Amino acid sequence: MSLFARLRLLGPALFRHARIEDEMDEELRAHIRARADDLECSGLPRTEAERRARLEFGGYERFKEECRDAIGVRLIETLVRDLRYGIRMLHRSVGFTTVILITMALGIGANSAVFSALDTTFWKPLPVDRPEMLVTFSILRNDGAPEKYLPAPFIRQLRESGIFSGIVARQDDGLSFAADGRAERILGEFVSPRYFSLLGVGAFLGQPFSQSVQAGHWGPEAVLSYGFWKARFGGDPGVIGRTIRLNTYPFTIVGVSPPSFLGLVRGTDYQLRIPLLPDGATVSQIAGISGAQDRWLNATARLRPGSTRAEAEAETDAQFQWFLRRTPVDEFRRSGLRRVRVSSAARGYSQYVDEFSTPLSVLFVLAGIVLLISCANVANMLLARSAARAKEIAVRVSIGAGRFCLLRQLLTESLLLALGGSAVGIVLATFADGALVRLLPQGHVPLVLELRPDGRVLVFTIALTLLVGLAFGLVPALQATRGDLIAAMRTDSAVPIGAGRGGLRTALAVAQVGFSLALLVAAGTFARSLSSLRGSDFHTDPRRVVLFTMKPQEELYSDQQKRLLVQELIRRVSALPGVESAAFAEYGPLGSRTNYGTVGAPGRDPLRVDIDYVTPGFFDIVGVERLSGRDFSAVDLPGSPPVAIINQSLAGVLFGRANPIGRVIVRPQTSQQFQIIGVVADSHYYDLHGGVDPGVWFAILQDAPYMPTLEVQMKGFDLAGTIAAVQRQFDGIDQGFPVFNIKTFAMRIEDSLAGERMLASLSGAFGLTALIVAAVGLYGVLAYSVSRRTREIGIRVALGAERGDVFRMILGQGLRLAAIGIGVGLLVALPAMRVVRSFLYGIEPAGPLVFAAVSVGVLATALLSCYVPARRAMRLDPNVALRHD
Amino acid sequence: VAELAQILPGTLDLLILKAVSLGPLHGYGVLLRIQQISQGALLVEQGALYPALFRLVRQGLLKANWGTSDNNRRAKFYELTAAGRKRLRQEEDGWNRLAAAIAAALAARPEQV
Repeated sequence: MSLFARLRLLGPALFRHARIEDEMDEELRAHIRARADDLECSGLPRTEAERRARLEFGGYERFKEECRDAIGVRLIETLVRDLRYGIRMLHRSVGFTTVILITMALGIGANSAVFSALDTTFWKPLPVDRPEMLVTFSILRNDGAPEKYLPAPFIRQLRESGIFSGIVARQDDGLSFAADGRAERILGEFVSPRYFSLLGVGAFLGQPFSQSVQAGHWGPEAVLSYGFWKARFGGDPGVIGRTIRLNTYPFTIVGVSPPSFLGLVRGTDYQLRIPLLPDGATVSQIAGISGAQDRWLNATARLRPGSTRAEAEAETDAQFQWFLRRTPVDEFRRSGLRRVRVSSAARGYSQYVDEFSTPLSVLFVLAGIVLLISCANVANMLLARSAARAKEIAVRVSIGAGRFCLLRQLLTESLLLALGGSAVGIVLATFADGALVRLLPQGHVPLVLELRPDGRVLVFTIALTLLVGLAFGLVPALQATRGDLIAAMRTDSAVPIGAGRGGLRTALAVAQVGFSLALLVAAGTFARSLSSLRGSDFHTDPRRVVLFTMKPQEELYSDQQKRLLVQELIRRVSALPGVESAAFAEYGPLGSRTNYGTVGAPGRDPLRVDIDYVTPGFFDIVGVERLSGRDFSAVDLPGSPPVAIINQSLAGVLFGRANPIGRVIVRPQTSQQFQIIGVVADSHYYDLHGGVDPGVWFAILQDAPYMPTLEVQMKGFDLAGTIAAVQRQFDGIDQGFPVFNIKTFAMRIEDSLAGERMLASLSGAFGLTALIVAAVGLYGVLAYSVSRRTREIGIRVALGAERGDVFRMILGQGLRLAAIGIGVGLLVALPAMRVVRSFLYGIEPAGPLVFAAVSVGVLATALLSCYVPARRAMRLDPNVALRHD
Repeated sequence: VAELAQILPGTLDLLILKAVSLGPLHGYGVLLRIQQISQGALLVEQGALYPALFRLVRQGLLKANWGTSDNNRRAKFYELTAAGRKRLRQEEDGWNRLAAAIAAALAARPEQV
């Protein structure tokens, strides 16, 4: 019979349960009565006839049970009974149940939290219409990384080819957004007018671009994201139709996108979307939406129904080869473009979150280990209890319970425990995810992740729970039901730990200690790497340096005006009472914007260097030591000879031991020459990981600022006051450009170590969790052993053993286990850390210090968890102990 | 007392189907009919009849209806369904083949080997 048919019968069977039961009784009784009638007819007295009839029928209840089985009522009935019995058993030992629930909750919670983070960040398909039909393009080169952007004319050609049911292009950039008051910096996405209709995403409010814009008649329309609408406009439905200014160009708000829609780019939420201009058109204020022929755009297409990715790829590539031949400019061929690859875009683009892939995967593995330890612990406790319940089980077997029936009962109990634990675990995971989001860095592109338990997390958790419930329930259940009945009925307390069933339990406790040690070693290593990365090359108090990024609009500020703006701001801000000094840098150290380029010296090959543009006083503020020569000064202006300051590494590479001051470096692209006026100490300027790059700094006033950062050194620690005071100076000059990404240097340093911090803090939390669980496990094993050996200990004491001897014996037994665990853990941790280091960049080897500290910590914890049972053993009264059964 | 043969496992279903195929019966009637058609040579454990009947109903080989028995008592009557009829034919064939084979095997004499 098919499963479906069974289920269909089960429903009514349950519904008609009582009636079936009655009818069954009636039918069986009718049989017996009829038989009795016949027997009476053959001459037996009525009472004797009835007795015989009942006897001939056989075990009435047994057959009724078999009938129930035959109909299928049994299944549900058994489940309900098992559940009820399970709950009663768990309820009877509240302490036991609580410890198991907490252990399970920690193990499952850790896994749900990390799964939820990984799923939201990378795996979950986009909340758009049929995401599996979306594809994106990359162009393979002869050498180097594939090109992720397509030339705009090629996108038009593809659109006309009809290979896809639609193609949208997208591009993003920061914008100055002004509705009232000071302009703000936002991140805008510039999309094809049919972006929303291709994705099948409607508007939460208003419309996703007007019909005429979608038909190709460009208009200055903006669709706000739900998050931005809530944050900036307080969710006011009246915003539709309002005019806002983006880089001073007026746009009309036409809609708000739905709350679930965060765009195609994972990890960020563009505050608003505006349509790209048609081919050939430009708007001077917003270069990013231009329809210039030479621009490159990221493109997403929707496959036609029935067409496959492979077919689409073949057709697209044919189009591309034709495009290469037909294009008059052979720029594309020269840059080595070979062929187009079409890949799935069902999960969108992950460039902003890719850096979290490795740390999160490592955390997933660590969470898995925590779960293993939790399972070992729960299995251990269940083993202990099934030993304690041996007598109960033996009684049940002797009155006829089958082994299968007992197994089912015990497994129901362990599944109950797992389900309870995972319910608590999901709640824990919600908090953990909140903490996880706070660990993420916020740069000039805000990171937005919506971490909350959803259906997928629930399914994962339930699947994990069932698996875990079976895993930790099966072994103890098998053990419990395998036992030798007679031995179990006989009380025996002479079984020492390590014998028989105890052996498995001991092994589990040792494994827990070992794995938690390995976890703690990992955590310690991550923490050490983090602190050594933090101990930076910047000799300043980073909490007293505040950085403000600003974006004066090109169309309002000429280069000369921007230079004047920068100088005026330095003058005004330096004069503030709480401010020590102020300077500008185009990028600044350790920001989310970085800049690399090449420089050479006459007769030397150019090399890759960190490049920044700064004002006088910058090096002193960020604590980069000036070693020789001079700083930039007020004389280094556009008219005067171009100058540069280099770091020691670059000086060494270009000039060896010779004095670089007065020598010349060349920027190969422009062949422009710069005279070296100073040398500064090496620093990890843009990236704390890895080695020190050679670096060169130019005078920002000899070039022009674009999106410069103001560095302000405070006299004290009044951060809020200083920020307010500095912002008043910005407002005093002009409200028309945004000032954003305001944070202290210390915060910048922390943000640039977000991956490491996430690893260190979460693996630390996991390690501690594991240690606590292992300590509970060790305690359980010892306490159990003491209770089993009560009589033995009583005899020892009665025969003259000192209490101290008993104490030392139990303590020694526990510590021996811990020591074995530590040994196993070290053996596991050494090669494991080598593996971890091979794919985690910038992690130092786990030093002997970490190993020693962790081992001592684990040993101390073990001591603590052995102390209680050892003391209990010591205090045993031999009179009571000897009577103990 | 005549010697009673313990029925082979799995043959109870066949006997029930056969008994019911001769006309609708209630549970006790099935028992009597089996005794009758086997000339009282087969021992059927009375209670075991019912799980088998319930199982056959669930498999759709029998259908059950409440009716009135000869002595005017309410009783559940079983009759064969079309599927039950088909199954009975198959089981009969199978059994006959098996019985013939076993009989032939047991009839073998040394000179035939």
